Amino acid sequence: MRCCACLCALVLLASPSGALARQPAPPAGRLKVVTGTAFVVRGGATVAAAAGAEVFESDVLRTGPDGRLSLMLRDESRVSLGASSELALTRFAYAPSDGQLGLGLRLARGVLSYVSGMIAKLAPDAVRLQTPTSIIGVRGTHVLVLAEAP
Amino acid sequence: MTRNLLLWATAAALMLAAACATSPPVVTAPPPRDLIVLTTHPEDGPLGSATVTTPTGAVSLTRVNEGVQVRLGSAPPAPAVVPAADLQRIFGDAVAVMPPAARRYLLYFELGSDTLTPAARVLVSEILALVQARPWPDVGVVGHTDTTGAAPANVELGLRRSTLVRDLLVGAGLDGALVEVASHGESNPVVATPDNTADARNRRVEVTVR
Repeated sequence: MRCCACLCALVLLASPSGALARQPAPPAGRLKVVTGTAFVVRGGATVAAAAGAEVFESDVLRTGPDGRLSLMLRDESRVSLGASSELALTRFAYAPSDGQLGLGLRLARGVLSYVSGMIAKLAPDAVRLQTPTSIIGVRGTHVLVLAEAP
Repeated sequence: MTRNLLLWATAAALMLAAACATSPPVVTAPPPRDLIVLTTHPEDGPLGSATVTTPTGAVSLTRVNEGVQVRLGSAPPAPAVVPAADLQRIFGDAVAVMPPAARRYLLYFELGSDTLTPAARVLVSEILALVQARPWPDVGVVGHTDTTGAAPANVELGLRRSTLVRDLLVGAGLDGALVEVASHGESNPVVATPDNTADARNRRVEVTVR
């Protein structure tokens, strides 16, 4: 089955338009609360963040000085950002039956609250939080991170 | 002669002053760059642990509210418990908007049938009530099997069961657009067993309201 998927991927990549190869991945999660100024950066475009909007792998979330937001990922991880923060969802894979598990969050600045979900439970080494100074491995539950802007 | 000495002394003093002015300040250390804290709240489940790694060192956080301040390019120092008032001041705003934890319901079928147990039927109405109460809810319906049989066949079996539960929930009034159906097959058991072990506890559909 996996070989078949690889073959399909190769065929799609080789196709001249490449349009099908860019089929969007399933959403990683959903914004639950947004207050004040907050944005989602996706593929170079910046749009205002709104509660209820879906979040995808590679999205960058930004809050202004009066902004806050929270989201729930599909693996039940919970994430929130305080004011003047920037967080990239560098990796999200949640397909336990294929052994595809991974969560990467990179806090460039500001305040992050993270409560682990099923990915951390099933594959603790697959969760990685990055800050400007450190890499944080999380074996469960609640981690708070403040990254001060340089 | 005396005059020459005086000139030399003056020149040396000036050079020293210039050197002091251009050397980096040594009085105050730069402010801490990152603060990383392990904590827990009633909804979070058991306290976990975290490892903070920099290019030159690593520390583990294992106690409630234990934190470490890390400067760029330095090894992390020994962690220390951060006062609750500081946590509230720094992280309170972010924690206040955290979504409530997901709730998971285990639904079991009557043996060898497509009929939910009476206990599971009660849960269906609980699930619908919770979905109503939450802003922007998502509902995951995931089928799980025991380890009897081949793994790929169990993925299919789990999907059949989860689809059945999705249909039951939608029939009871749930908005189908909120529902994601999946199967973890035998890869995510409640009770770890050897391969090819029949275990009713693992033959379940989990409904998660996020």
